[in-house]
Amino acid sequence: MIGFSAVVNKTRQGPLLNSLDIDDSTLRWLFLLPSVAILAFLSIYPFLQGIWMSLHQWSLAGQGTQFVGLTNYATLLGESRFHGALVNTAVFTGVSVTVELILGVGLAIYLRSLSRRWRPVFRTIFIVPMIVTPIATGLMWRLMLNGQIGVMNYLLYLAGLPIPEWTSSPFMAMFTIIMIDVWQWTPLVIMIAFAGLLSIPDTLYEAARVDGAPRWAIFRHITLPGIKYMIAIAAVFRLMRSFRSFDIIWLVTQGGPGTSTEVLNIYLYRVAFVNLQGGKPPRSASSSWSSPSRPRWAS
Amino acid sequence: MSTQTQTPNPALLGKKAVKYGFGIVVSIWMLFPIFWMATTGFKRNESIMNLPPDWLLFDVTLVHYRDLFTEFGFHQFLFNSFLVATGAVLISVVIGVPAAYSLSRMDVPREQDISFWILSTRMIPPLAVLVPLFIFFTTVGLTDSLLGLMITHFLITLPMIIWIVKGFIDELPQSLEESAMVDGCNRIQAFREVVVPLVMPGIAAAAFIGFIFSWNNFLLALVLTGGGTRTAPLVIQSSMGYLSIDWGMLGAAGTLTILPPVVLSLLIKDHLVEGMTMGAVKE
Repeated sequence: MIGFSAVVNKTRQGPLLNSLDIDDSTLRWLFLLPSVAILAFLSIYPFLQGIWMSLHQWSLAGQGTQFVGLTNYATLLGESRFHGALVNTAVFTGVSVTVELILGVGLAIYLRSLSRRWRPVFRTIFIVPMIVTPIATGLMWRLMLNGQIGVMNYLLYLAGLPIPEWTSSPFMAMFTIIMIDVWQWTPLVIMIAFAGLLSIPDTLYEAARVDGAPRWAIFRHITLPGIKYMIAIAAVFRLMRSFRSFDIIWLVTQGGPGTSTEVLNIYLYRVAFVNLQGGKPPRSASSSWSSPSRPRWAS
Repeated sequence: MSTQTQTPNPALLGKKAVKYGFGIVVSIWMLFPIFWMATTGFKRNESIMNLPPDWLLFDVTLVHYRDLFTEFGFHQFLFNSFLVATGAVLISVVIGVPAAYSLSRMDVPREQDISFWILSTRMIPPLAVLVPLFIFFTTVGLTDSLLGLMITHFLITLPMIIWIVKGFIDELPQSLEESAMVDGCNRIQAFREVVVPLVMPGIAAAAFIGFIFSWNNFLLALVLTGGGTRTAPLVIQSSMGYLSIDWGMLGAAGTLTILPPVVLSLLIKDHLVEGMTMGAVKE
């Protein structure tokens, strides 16, 4: 019992924390272990499992599995719908990220040109869209683009412009989801580029102005080099997220009409969870909301 | 510099008007969709259908909010979202902050590799891990459960919290803990009594950003929940499939759904960008 009472005595001397004497080489792993274990379970295990599954004939509902080598890959690569999804992803990501970078850098330069009094106000406003829950973003735009009550259509009508079928033609559907993505994510580029702009010393601009440098020269030789690292970061972050886009596209077009906005994620989701699980084909989204019915004021 | 208030130069004023006019137009572009959804939630159905639209002057009604809670039980789904996000964030903070400390301060072999691997888990396309995880959850009976969803949300919150907090600890002078340890603290005490309180603002910012991302997530919940365990974004999605859409109720639901992230982000707007880029950008 001596050992036991020693332990009791030791813990009585103060909080357990003080008596715990773990040396650094153990502690560093104790600190890391829970996080590493959880992340490994959530990323490495599914990744390996995914590779295993890709080499076997297998379905969510079925029982038996059979090794088939690279057949699944061959099937996938041969599928025209997969090719379509690749192209759609490239178009969606390429166009939206390019537009966001150009708009975002432009608006960041605009923010910097504002007086100290108004800068925080506009900066706060410019942050808001990137915080909005993407599903709510999709909801807002469907409300505004709706064939019957859409306020955007009304404004276009007032301006005497033709009212597009936002999601029923393949071209317009792609345009629409890119427009919404630009609304949601340009703010992120603005914020990153703006952080970069703040790090450029004012003296550089003053010197350039004293020398009488024209605006574009200031932009090309001071602004752009000063934020090119930030632009690269913004591009990487946008590309990473854009490849994973799902929510807005799913809510607005569900990949339709047909498969014209079916990016890789939508395709994967349909193959993995919609087609196999319930067997029910996905509802055609475009028919559910912007059906070709003409707006009331335009008749 | 001080010419701002004095010179009533008309050309300059005109330039200024154009400049701020442009800013206001951009602001309207940024805010109008939110304004439109929020006001739709407070309009009577006739008013929603009105043409020309009722911009500002309309009868404010709470009927959609009432229906949302009484008929639809929306509080259940808001609560689900809240529970999942809060649980994922709290646990991520408890295990992520020590991990951040370890990576920042202690002699971890291959620290660079481990840090980058942690960051890389945030870049994984969710669908790449969802099928195997879905099968795993089915076997252990965790589908359609908030616990299962919460576990997958660690993939969102944990790397983010580790990276953001690590950034904050990196900026803290190491001498602070060293002097605490000279005074007789051991490593754990120095961490708990000195480091954690000092990086508390950073931990709070990281937690809020983690909460926002978890709250906004849709895809994980779409695969892993159903019925009563759905989260708020999922309910919005599933209410949109019908031919006649109850815009008033959806406006109300959307407004309630974006409220927590917008409020939180305004609280921490100075850290927001740093957090969203996981410390790659310092303002």
